[in-house]
Amino acid sequence: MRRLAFADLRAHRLRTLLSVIAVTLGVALVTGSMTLTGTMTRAASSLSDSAYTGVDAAVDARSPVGESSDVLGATRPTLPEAAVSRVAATPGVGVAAGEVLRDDAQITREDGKVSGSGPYIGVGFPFADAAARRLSAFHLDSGAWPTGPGAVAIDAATADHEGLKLGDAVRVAAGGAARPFRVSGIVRFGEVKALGTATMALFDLPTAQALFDRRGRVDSVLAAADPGTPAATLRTTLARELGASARVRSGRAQDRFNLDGLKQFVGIIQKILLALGIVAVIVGAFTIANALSMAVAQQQRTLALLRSVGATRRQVRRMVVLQSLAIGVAGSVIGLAAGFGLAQGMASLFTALGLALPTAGMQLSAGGVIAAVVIGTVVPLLAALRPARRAARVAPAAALRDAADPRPGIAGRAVRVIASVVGAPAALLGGVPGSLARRNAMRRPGRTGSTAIALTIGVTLVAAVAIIVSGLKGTARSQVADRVSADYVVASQEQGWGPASRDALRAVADAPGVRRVGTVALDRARLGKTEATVAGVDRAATSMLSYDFVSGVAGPGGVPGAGEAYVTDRYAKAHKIKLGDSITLRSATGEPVTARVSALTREPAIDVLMIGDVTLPWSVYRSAFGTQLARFGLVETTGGASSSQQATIDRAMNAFPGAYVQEPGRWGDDQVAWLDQVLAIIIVMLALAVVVSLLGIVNTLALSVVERTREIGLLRAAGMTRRQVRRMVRWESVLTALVGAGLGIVAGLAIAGILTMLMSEWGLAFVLPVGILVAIALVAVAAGVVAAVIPARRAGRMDVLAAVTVD
Amino acid sequence: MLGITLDRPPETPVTTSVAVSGSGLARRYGDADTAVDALRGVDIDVPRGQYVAVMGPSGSGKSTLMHLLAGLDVPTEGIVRIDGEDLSGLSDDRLAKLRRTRVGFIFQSYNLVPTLSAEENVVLPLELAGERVDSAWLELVLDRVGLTARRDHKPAELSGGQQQRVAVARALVTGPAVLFADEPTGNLDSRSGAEVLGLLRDAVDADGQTIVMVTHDPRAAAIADRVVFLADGAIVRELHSPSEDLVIATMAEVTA
Repeated sequence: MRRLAFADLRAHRLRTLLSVIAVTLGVALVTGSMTLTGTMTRAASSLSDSAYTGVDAAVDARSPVGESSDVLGATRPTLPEAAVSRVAATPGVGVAAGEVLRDDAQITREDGKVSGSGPYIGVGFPFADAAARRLSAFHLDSGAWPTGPGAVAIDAATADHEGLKLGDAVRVAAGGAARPFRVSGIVRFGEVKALGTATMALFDLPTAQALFDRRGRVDSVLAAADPGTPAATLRTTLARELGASARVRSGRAQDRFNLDGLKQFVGIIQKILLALGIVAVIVGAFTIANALSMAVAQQQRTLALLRSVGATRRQVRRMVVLQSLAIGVAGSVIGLAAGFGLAQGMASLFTALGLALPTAGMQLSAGGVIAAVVIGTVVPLLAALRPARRAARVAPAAALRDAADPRPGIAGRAVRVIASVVGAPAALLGGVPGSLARRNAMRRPGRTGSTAIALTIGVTLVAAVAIIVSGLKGTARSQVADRVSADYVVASQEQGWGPASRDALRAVADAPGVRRVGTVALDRARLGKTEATVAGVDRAATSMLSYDFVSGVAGPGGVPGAGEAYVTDRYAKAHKIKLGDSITLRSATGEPVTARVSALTREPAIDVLMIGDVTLPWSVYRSAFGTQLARFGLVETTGGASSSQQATIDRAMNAFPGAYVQEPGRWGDDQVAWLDQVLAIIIVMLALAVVVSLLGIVNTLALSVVERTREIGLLRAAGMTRRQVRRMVRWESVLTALVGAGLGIVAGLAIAGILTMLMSEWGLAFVLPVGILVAIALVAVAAGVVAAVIPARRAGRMDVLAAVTVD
Repeated sequence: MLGITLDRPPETPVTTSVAVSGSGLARRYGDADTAVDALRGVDIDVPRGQYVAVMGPSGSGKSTLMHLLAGLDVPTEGIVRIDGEDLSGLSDDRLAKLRRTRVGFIFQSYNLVPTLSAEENVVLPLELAGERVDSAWLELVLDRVGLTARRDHKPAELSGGQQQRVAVARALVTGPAVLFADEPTGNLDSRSGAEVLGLLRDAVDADGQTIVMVTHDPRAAAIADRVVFLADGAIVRELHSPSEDLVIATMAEVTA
């Protein structure tokens, strides 16, 4: 039986090869994603080891507001520089140093373009002090540590990426205007060249304090214990010494570079990649099941013969299972090797998509290998169950004649209807070959469907996501159009997400043609037991930004009156705040603000403006909250929006490389541009499903051609040319692919429709991305044409005589 | 000397009186060592309007001869002409197009495309050629084979005899120069077989159709105008309008 099983695999090389490739793809994806993300997770863990080693105690200011990344550039409380000498003087401290740390220090090139896509890590540290340097997270690669007002050290990845060398001139901006620096050194973060997509700019402490608006202040004081003093003891001593206003933790617990966030991000990537791998495996399983059932159908006679010479049902079943096992093992072994290569490819792909991740020392994990091999062998075995059962059912005296087309089930009948509809143009345009192809696709709808399903899975995903993405984009657009009446929005280059420098807004206000500039600033605050995002608006801003009041009244000029605040209905409901209540907000630095809720405003669930839970008048906001940055600025011009006016504003912001000016509509689009990255990842999935489904279509067509040898011979005898035969096969292939894509689009529409309906009260619109759906159909057609190449050639080459005389 | 006798129906084109001819036909299969001569030098002319039956024991080369004459196979030596046109050197495409219009086929079994209805099967050669179907002619052909009522049925819904009648209609619909039939009654019961043979005979008598039929069945051969006997790849006997008994006797003689 075993010899027979292998002889059959050898005899049908194409079919075997296609099945092995299907398994290989799935296993390669699972291995690849596990290898990649395993490497990334290890890299992130080893980063926190190397970055925080030596920091026995990290001291920063205690804040009523937690460390949330909800608001970019939110105020962080700082310590007076005097705290450094206080820590240094504490018994048990070996060495102490103050550090300034920000995440908006943008390095810019000559052309004014910002390097990287954030976070833009900026560090001020007494790098000249050799004893203190062991507290720093950085290692010098080449050049010298930055000292003096004009020196900056940058990370090796940024240097590589931008082609920067020692001594090159760069500009660095942090909230304000960019200032010129010279590259004194190139550094690594811990052991690695890159920390995700982050760029790093290092200065000596006084330079950073001046640049980052931290004169006389530091963000943290880092300390190492004397030899003989345990780290925990040191922390207890320090906590007692510094009092309640300071917080003392270990370097790792403080995690000032937010490496835990990086690990979480890697975790998300891992889930996406695994989902991709699983999609590939499922799609591959359909291909294998299909290939094996066709093998069984084709071997009907051999199986009947085997049974008549005494093979038991079990033996027949075992033969089919054995074949699938062989396919699974072969595919797994090749897939493992391919997966390792794929991991490196995916790392580059993510870099290309703007999601660079740490990938030092890539290696295959034992868990990944086991998972991949188990998936690669078990899934084909499961796929073989049905064909094996069918093989075992072949009667010893099975009639040796052409089997009638079986009667299709409900799913088959549905596929038949779809094949009939998508095939109508083929019948119309393709003449006899087209209309025969349509009927061929309809005659075994079960087979057409199971061949097409691989494509269906991928298309369903893409269609659903594309529809939701375009719905979100449509929502964003209409929200901005409804609420913002400004001529221009000034924000940060970072897809319009990042905060705008208020210095830049002031520069814009002075630009020719600008009537006024409104500011919407954003910060975090504590409100009772919870936290809230607080916005400060001035009168210029409210003249260009409308609120939808649920209850209460607007203050004069749309701005809340002094001692008043607007609260969004959602926040109010969630935290049981009513109109007329008095609320007390506490800023990150501990400043209290008390206000009466004068109005409740409507906030859509999908909020692209993101202007906070609580709105305060600028005059009150500025007394407690951060004023260096604005969520965005709104610009009203005297002559309305025009390309020359936009250029004028752009010029006015020349000194602020991160700043960006855009018409509100475009800005709204930019706000949701990240969705396109999501779509890009899903489209990679489609590419995968297309490749696997190609294999399935090739397989099915090749078998159909063999099965229809006599029919094709008859057609040839009746005067069909080779070209017409090839065209017939090609049409059938395209139709199969279109059935798959069609089912997928319908399923995607249904899924997206249901989700949109569920989310309609939150304002998600249903927008049909016609372009993408048409593109999917075109991809399906192309896939069909490619898949048909080999089977069509076989059919065309078929010898008429051999075909008509075959018994 | 006054009376003029017409030896063919006046509507037949006067280009040539021979519908299909083979001269010096030889066909060798396989390579040098294992070569088998299926046909060794056969000359045959089939005049227009003649019904020729080809008989012979298994392996005598009768099927090979038919395949060569129909352009389904290429002779190792010799020339085949259909309607005066030399088939040697014609491209595969040319041969396919020739089959659409000048040649009709009926096989022993599996004659119809299962996805097409009876009528669609009949008009298939015309459709392949992109020709307009003359509906009056189609009605006539369908009526003659008695399938007007079942024209929309799929082959699976027709009996074997009915399927073979559809095949006859398809072979006739283009008005081919010659109709080739390979054991057309081999898979049919005797009544259905007789019906099919009757249809073929009618086509010869009414329209002057030329037919070349390979058969084992002496009763089928007896319907033909001329019976050619093959043995070992050569023509060994010929009979004209023979009786069934004579055919049986000659077969026995040839096989012996």
